[in-house]
Amino acid sequence: MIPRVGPIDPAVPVRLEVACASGHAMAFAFWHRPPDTDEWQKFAEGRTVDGQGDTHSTTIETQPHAQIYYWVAISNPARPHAAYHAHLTLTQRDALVPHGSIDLTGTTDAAGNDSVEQWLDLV
Amino acid sequence: MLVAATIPLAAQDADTTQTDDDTTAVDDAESDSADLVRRAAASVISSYSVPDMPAAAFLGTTPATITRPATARDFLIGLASGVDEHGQARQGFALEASPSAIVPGLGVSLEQYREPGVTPRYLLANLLISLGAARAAGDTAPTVLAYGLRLTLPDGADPMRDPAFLEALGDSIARCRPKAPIPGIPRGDTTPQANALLRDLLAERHDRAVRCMDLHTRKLARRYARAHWNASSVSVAYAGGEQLRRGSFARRRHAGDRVWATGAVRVGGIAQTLVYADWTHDRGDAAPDLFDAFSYGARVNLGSESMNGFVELLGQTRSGAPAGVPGHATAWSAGLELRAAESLWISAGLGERFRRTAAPEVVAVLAGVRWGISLRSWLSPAE
Repeated sequence: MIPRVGPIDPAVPVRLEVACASGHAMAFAFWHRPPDTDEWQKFAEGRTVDGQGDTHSTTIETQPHAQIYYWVAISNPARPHAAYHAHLTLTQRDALVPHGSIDLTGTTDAAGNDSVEQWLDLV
Repeated sequence: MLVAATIPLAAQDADTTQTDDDTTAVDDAESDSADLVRRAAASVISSYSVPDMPAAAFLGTTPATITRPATARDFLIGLASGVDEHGQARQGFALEASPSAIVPGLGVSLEQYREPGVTPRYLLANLLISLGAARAAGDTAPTVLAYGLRLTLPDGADPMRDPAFLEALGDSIARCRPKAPIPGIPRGDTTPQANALLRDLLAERHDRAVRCMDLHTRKLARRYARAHWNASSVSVAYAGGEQLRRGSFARRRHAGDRVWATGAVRVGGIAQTLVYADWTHDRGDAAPDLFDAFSYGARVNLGSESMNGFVELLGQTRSGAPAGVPGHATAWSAGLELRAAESLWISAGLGERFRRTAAPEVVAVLAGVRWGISLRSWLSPAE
């Protein structure tokens, strides 16, 4: 089931935050597709960097019927087969967008890695 | 050696021949038994590390499938899967979980994990609990339910606390980022429908990304482990078990306990001292089967570009040993190898452990010392 997030207010940018609460390093990328187009535009990417904390955030000006596609990679080679718990949050005016809290949980493989990719329909 | 010493005595006095033969046999038996104990100690202390899954080590099994819950809900479902419809323990069940991952509010972020020192959060993140159930061969054998925990205390080779490693790790996994979303995603202004093709595409992309990450991070982790082979660390583990007659929790009996502890101390740039202790308390099926065993080991590893070596003492002390089996035995082993030229190593050593570790291309035994020539290093502690 594709998550339908919103309703959102087109007058205010949406803030996306991705954070990991299980001691894993992360890399991520976000794409955006406005309504009535087939083009995806990457609007943010990042990774764990020393001293920058565990939460990565970005903002995007968007509107209902647009879509956001995310890819989040999780890694801890020191702890294979470990449970991870990351979180994707969409907010507007510092308030959570309805259905905008998305848990990314799972278990890493024998090398300590996993990735999640999915898209969201904004309404 | 014992046989050679007793033969002349037997030849000198025919009346004592039988006695001498018996003595020889007893000495041989004791020697064999002591060797057995030494070998047992060597097999117990195979890697100077506490078991990954103490409950499985207690049971002496390697579970085919281990449930590793990522949430409290998964944990409860996992626990429930260990009990059958009659409320009895299901054999073959194995579960491993980190309390910091499954208990809401106990999560440890990377930033918290990297706070200096051995903090409560660091300990929590390195605490693993395990459960397992197994039944010995035979229809009437009881099921044994084992529970265990494993805790890593300070670990100088923990890459996740090293800023340089994290930087490289971030780079490595970011290289596996897809260039674009999967094709064919229906637009947001259309009615969403289940699409098997998109699900397959997502699964295929996931597998590709994880394969890419595995390739890069394995290389990185190997390089890091080699560079930090002699780091200091301490780990402890415990496992206990309950015998369940006919799998029933109502008919349980404590089966025993086992405790492991290992420590490593970095000695300069080229050496490391390792210690290992393993105490087993087995209640057996009846009082005569009760025994305690304490296995211990101490080892000094040396490693450099041109020379590797080790000195090791292994031992085992056992109470309740059967007649003829010594209650205590120790074994020494040592080995040294020198690089004579590029891809040419000369080694020398003695003891069971050296014989098992080093398998050079050319071997000669002179004066009890095993000499070898090989094209690769066998004793490098970094491997």
